Amino acid sequence: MRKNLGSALAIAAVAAASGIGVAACGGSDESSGGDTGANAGGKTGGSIRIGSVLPDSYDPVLLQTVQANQPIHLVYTGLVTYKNAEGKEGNKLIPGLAEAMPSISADRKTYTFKLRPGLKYSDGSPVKASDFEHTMKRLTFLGGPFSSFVSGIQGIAEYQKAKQENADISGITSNEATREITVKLTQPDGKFLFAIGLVNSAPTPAAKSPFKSASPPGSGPYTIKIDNPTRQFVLTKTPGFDIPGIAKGNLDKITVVKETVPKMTQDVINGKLDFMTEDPSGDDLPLVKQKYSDRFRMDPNPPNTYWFFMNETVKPFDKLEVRQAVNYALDSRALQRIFGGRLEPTCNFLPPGYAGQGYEKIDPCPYGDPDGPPNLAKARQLVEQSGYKGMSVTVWGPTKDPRPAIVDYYRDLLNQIGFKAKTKVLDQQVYFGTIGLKKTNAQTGFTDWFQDFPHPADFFEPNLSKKALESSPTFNFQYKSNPVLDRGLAKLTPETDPGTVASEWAKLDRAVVEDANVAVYGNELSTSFFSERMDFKNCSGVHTVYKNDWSLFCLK
Amino acid sequence: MARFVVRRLLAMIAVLFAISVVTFAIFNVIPNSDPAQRLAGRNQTPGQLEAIRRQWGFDQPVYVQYFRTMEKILTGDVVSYSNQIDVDREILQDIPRTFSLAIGAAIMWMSFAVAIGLYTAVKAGRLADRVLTVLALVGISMPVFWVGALMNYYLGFKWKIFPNGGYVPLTQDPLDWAYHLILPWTALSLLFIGVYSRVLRSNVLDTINDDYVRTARAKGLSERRVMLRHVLRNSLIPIVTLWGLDFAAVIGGGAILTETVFDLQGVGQYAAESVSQLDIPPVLTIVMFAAFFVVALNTIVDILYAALDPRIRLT
Amino acid sequence: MATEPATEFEFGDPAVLAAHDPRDSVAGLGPWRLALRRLRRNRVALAFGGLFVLIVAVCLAAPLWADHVAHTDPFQNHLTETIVVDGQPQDVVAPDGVPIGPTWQGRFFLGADGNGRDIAVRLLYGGRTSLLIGAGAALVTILMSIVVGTLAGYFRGWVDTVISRVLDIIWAFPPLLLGIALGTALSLGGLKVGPIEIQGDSRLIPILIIALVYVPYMARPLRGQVLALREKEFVEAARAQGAGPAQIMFSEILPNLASTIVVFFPLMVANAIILEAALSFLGAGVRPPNPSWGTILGEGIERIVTAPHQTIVPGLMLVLTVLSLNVFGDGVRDAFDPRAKVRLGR
Repeated sequence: MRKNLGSALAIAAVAAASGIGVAACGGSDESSGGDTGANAGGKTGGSIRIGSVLPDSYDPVLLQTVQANQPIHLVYTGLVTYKNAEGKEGNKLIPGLAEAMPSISADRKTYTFKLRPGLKYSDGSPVKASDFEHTMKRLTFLGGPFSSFVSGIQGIAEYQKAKQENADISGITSNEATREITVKLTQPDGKFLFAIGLVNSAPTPAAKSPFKSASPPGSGPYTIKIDNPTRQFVLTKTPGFDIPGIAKGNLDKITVVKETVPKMTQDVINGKLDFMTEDPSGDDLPLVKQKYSDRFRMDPNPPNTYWFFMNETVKPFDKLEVRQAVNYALDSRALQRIFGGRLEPTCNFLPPGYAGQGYEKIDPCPYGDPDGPPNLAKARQLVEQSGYKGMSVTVWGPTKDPRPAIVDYYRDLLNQIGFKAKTKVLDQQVYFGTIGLKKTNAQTGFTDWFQDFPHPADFFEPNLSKKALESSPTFNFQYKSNPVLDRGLAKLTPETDPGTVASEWAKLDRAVVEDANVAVYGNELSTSFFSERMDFKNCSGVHTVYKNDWSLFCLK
Repeated sequence: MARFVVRRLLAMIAVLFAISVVTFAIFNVIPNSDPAQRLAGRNQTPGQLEAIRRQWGFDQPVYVQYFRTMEKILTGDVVSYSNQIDVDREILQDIPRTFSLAIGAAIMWMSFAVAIGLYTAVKAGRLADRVLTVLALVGISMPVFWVGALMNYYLGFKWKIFPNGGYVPLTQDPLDWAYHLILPWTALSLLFIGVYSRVLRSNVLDTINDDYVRTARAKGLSERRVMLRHVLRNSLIPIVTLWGLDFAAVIGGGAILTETVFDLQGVGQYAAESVSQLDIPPVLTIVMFAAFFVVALNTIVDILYAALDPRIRLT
Repeated sequence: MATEPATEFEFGDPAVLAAHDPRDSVAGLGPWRLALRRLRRNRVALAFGGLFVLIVAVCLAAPLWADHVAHTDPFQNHLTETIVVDGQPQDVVAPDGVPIGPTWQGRFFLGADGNGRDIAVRLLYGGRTSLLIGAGAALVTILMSIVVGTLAGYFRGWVDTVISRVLDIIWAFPPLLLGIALGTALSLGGLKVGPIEIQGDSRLIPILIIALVYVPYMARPLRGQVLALREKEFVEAARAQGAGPAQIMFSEILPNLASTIVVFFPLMVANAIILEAALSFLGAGVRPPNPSWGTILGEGIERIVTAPHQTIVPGLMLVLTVLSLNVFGDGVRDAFDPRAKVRLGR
């Protein structure tokens, strides 16, 4: 390394710390007055350009990436939606097209929404109560990525079997006269509201929402015009948008262009772009952190966790000692380097973005301080105890950067504590589908999870529960489930307000970590990099669901 | 003659068909590469997977899927698995970039190759010849992505003499367009200059001592006239054929490495990205497109040769 | 213009005649001895040939370097370690992920990569892989081309048609795309042909893929040669003596192909090494964490701004290797080809 490594290290450390520091307090400086959610601090008006890799789909029921969610959630509003506020406030659900949060029946299976009067889509057509059911049909019929979240509605399974576009969903009834929408679930599910707060469930006009990929008119604060689906689209403020509680947006016009990450980074540096949805690539990152720390920040957002899965049905991970050994030996500081500094060490399975809704920092961590050195001696001793020393282990990983480097570190680690490890790297597209099959017998390897919506079950259920094992391929790569977790999930998921049982969720988190079902090493930090003309201090719009809420952006 | 042409065209179609089948097969034998799963996201349910398969036609037998995909390619209706975007549209936008790279590089390498080839042939055996020959060999020995990356870094990023990669459309600003392409053109040309200058050199040296050239000299024609009219013309014919075929190969995606390193977002780069994402529709489309180019050019050359040389028609 | 007289029939220039070396017109020396003699006089080619041998030797000595000088192997991660350089302790990999540059000491002589692995060690081991794949692919190409070209050229008819069409198909594929498509597909699923099963991360896979891509380029000229040879008198004579096709192919035709093959070989290896580098750079060649020059270059180019040494040094090594093969191969070709007018030697 160059001779001025020392100073470079110091600067990088300070910049990283300041970026993380801001995020850890979870908030911004802006005062979210009352629950208007609108940005009280920034200047309104103006037009900006954003660099992105563009949405995987412009159709709200078909999109699944963060880069799609950021622009598209501004175009469509759900019956309920997430508050436009930075930090923890952004986890809260607020009424969207519905005039109030739904009334929930005593058995917690029936939700009744009432639409606000006089709502219109961007093309002028009125919002009808039946549009919600139509959206649910589209979502299910087309097999949208989040259709599983609404599969708990009564009648959905039959609808799927019928394979008819316009078959009825018995669990949803819509009354145009009273503007009421009643949704019946097959069983109580506290996740339901959180799930339909996402843009995938936002109602769109039935007449203009065919049963194929489309970009229907929406009811959101912005309207989208797709100039060139593979290169550019524009968001402009919807005239007359006025739903109390939802931010109207400060900027008049947002142009989103496709660029590659290195070019994006250069353009934000010299002001040709005002923001980029991607993180500066490995090479540019240290530079940006060092030179532009006044308009660059890092946050563990959207809430995510990175860990190594350990298949408890095969050797050597069927023994607790081995799993504990891995946890003792893991060095998050080493992995931090692989992430280019963009990793916050942790031992909790839930990410800190859930603070107040199930996240309680486990302190002290049962297997050593994640910020400190690992305990290799103890790890080696445990491996000896297990009797599996010298066994062959294959570490699985996908190809997306920096995952091959991560699994290489893990392989090296396993070798150091007494195994004979080698890696097997598969393409990103087939990786999860391969290790998710029991017959693959993947012993251990890379996995991660990014929040879909701010409810702890979103993390626990697909990755660790018994229920997850019912599908094939599964995401529960342990191929076993912790009974404490399953009992907890059965008890807590029906609670409609997870905040009331937050400490119970935290106990499940602790159980999973203490039983070494997983080997967690950190939460990835994502970046927000702005041009000089953006008001970085007041309007960086860091949001737990959208990563950055563009309606909170503003110019200086 | 007509029969020859017809036979050639039929062969061309057969080859293209075979290529499409092979490409499709290559991707279909990958285990666990069900595109429905990628489209379904990480919260899949079996019902959802079924719905996706129905929508996209993955529940059909393989050969039906093949025909449907080919049909979509030929009618311009292909949609990619990874971002549900119209593949043909994406390709049409990428073509001008690949074309710009290919044409510019082709002109550059031809000019330099002819100049160097002629010069070294004329000065054969002398120091200049040897130095240039070694340089040509160096040109062949350098991987184009390495040269490109270093050029981009030193000349583009560090010393800021040239732009740091990227592409500016010709219609937007011709000067900027050329400015952005100079480094990619050079990187791509270095390899071909090396090859072509040496082929030309040996062709020239071959013809220079042929009978008809000696006759021309004996007739009293000036050396210059001899070189230009007789030697050069005959040496160029095989070069031009090669040039045409290499150009087709570059257009068809052979410049993948250059485009990737300089981030030109051309057809080659798109193809490489699609392969790594196991995205069959774009890969199939681009392979067909590239192969078509190569095979078509080849067929044209064959036909031209046959027209010029009757003996060939018999094969 | 002092040209070397390559045959005895060059009358153009009296200076040339005077310079004519009587040794060249000794009758009775077979073409192989002649070629060898010409090659021996080509000092530049020999020098580069020696360079290639040196590089191979150095790469083969990789374990010596790894064990005694660098004290690590190509796979060990040293992410959180520090080493002392010029008296100062330095991170092998800084917390922001930037690895240490060349230390010019025993450990991390050429610096570290993103995982804290010793680049010099990986470079040498990677060289073994790249050279193995290069030579292996060249061998397989030649073998396949001989078989295919000879069969097609000798038997003609429908055998030729089928083989030629198959070659056409391979040849019409954009070669790099074919390589990455096969590379990606086969590395994921491995290769199963009847009873033979090859794992996806075996080095045999890149060898086979590269060979497949290059076969048409060699099989066609060979086929052409066989077509011509077939009509020669000695083949007729052998047939008249009652020799079967296999015997004729082995005893009459193959030996005559030998010179073409010998000329092709070094150039094939050079091309194979470059193609392997390209494939691995694009992620469709050698699988991680196995080092090869291509994967090292790929990793290096990704962080070229913060660690250019990781790109420059492996690249130089590759270029030198390929260059030495090209120059030597050129010399071999000149040695065999009597029509070559000028060689690099004198």
